[in-house]
Amino acid sequence: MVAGPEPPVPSNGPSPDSPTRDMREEFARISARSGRDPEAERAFVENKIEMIRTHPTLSEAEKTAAIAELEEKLKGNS
Amino acid sequence: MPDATSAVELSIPIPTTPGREMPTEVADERESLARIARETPRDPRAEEAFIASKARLAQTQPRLDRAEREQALAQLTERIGRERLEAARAKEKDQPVPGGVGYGPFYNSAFKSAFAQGTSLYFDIVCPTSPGGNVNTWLYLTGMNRAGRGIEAFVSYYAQTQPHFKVFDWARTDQWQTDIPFGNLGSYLGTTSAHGTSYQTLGVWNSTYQISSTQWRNEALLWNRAAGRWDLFYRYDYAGTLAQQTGGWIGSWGPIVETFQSPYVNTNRFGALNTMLISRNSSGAWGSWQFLSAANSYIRTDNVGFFVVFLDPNYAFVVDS
Repeated sequence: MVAGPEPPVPSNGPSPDSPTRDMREEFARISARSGRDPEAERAFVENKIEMIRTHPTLSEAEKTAAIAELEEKLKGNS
Repeated sequence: MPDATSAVELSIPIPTTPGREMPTEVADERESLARIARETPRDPRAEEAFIASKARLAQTQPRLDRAEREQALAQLTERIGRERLEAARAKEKDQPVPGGVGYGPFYNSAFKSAFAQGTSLYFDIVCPTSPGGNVNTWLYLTGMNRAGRGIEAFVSYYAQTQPHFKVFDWARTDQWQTDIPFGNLGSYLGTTSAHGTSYQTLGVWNSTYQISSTQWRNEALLWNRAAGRWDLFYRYDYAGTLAQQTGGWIGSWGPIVETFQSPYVNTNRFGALNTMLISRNSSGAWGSWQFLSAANSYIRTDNVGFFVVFLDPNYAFVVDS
């Protein structure tokens, strides 16, 4: 058991003593260069809905609830 | 429908069901039915869709091996005619194809909610630099850590262009965050061996955990192989509840190949290795990393043309087409 909010490092990665580098600024800078792709973003959402609709074990009621949950979370999608 | 025009004698016995009265007379309705059929306009689109669907069935039938699928398609081509079959399939490509899951584990509902103050996922994404084959739209190699407001840190292919590594954060309203072309991931891409083969992989670790009584954190790190360290590349803190994290459908997929077309043919190999999860209990203590097991998850495949190269239930798999 490990206390504290952060999870312990995965056992097959670098050793637990390895440093962790904060690369958020670097990744954010590269991401900003990539630009947005509205078509890709729309496809991402539509595919998730299809994943629910075609789910082999969810009941109709569960599918309806899952789609409602998805739509709720994506309400503010910008 | 008009009355029967004539009686017919058949040389085979009429079906009978014990205990149930069944008709014994036979009428010849061929002419009247043929007339109705002639009066019904043909629907070329429906006919083409039927043919194309048969071809798709042949190519994606899960119980057939590769050679058997090819044999089935060859047989269909011979029966239908190559030109007609190809025309039908070309038109099918113009129609929207439902998205789905090429292959990969989903968490059982009990396991999906089996954490209290945090959950974390690590997996090596098997991600070739090019998807190969007939990939002509998106294809994702993604996975969630069970938390309903967690993140997807995933590899996104589009056709044969350079793949990107992206983050979609389900806790935000501006969900699209990180977007890194593969060309910038040289320090993170490495090779991992499995079942005697080396695969290009990306070690992704994403976590969702409580940082105060009302606040949660989404966090993602990549294994920097060149430097031998974890690189934190994404973090977002937000107000949330345990019920939001453990309930619902979002967060229920482990490492999956998420698909956008059908069928897939001759693609490179995709998958996930070393899939591990860890849970934090209600006292705030983390347990130990455990490989994802068949007891905690089930494999979903929508039969879109992928073959299983291997499956180590359910923490590692590789598929191709």
